[in-house]
Amino acid sequence: MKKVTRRRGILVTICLSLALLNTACPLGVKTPSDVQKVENKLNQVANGLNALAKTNRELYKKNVTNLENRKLVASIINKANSGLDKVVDRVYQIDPNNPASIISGKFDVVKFLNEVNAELAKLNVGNEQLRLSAQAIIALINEAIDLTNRVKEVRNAGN
Amino acid sequence: MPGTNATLEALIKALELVNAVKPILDGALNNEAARMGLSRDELHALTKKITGETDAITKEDISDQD
Repeated sequence: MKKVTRRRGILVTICLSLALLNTACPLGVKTPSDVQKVENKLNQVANGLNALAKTNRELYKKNVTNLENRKLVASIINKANSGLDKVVDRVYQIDPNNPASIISGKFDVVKFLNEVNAELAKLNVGNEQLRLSAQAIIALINEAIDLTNRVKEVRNAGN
Repeated sequence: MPGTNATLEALIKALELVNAVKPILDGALNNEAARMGLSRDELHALTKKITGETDAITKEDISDQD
């Protein structure tokens, strides 16, 4: 009887420990690597630009902006978005387990992201909503630049 | 109090501006669920889909003759 109680006690302890461990570090869910964090942030930027493009269209439909401004803003967003698309592909090429790939990738990504920022900074058509929205996206891009600079140049940085 | 109106106006303006930026932040941040647990390949494909859509919208707007 004592043996059964002791065995049951050990089993309960093991089960509780596993449950606690699973809560603190869920089994099967990987912590994003440095490169994945950049990719997550770029996804946010992409969504932000998408929302900005739709906002530009909405403002025109509501007669808040005119056709000329609509085209101008759309052109700026289009160029910024093309730049972002280039960044997304460049980050995707980075091999997190290859230090040389990380170093060259970081350099390119930061350079391209600064170009996207420079394009968005041109968005100044006198509409406060569009201007502030562009500033919000620039802030996200700056976060992406910061995350990129933090990518560690070590082997097995995670995939 | 003379300063109160100015303060209230500034606050209202600030709230209007926050409201103006909200669609952008919603668009950027509310897709967290979509990104959770995605592989690099999946996330890349998702992001490319979004940039593709933005490209289509802006090109249409640029060429629109009204």
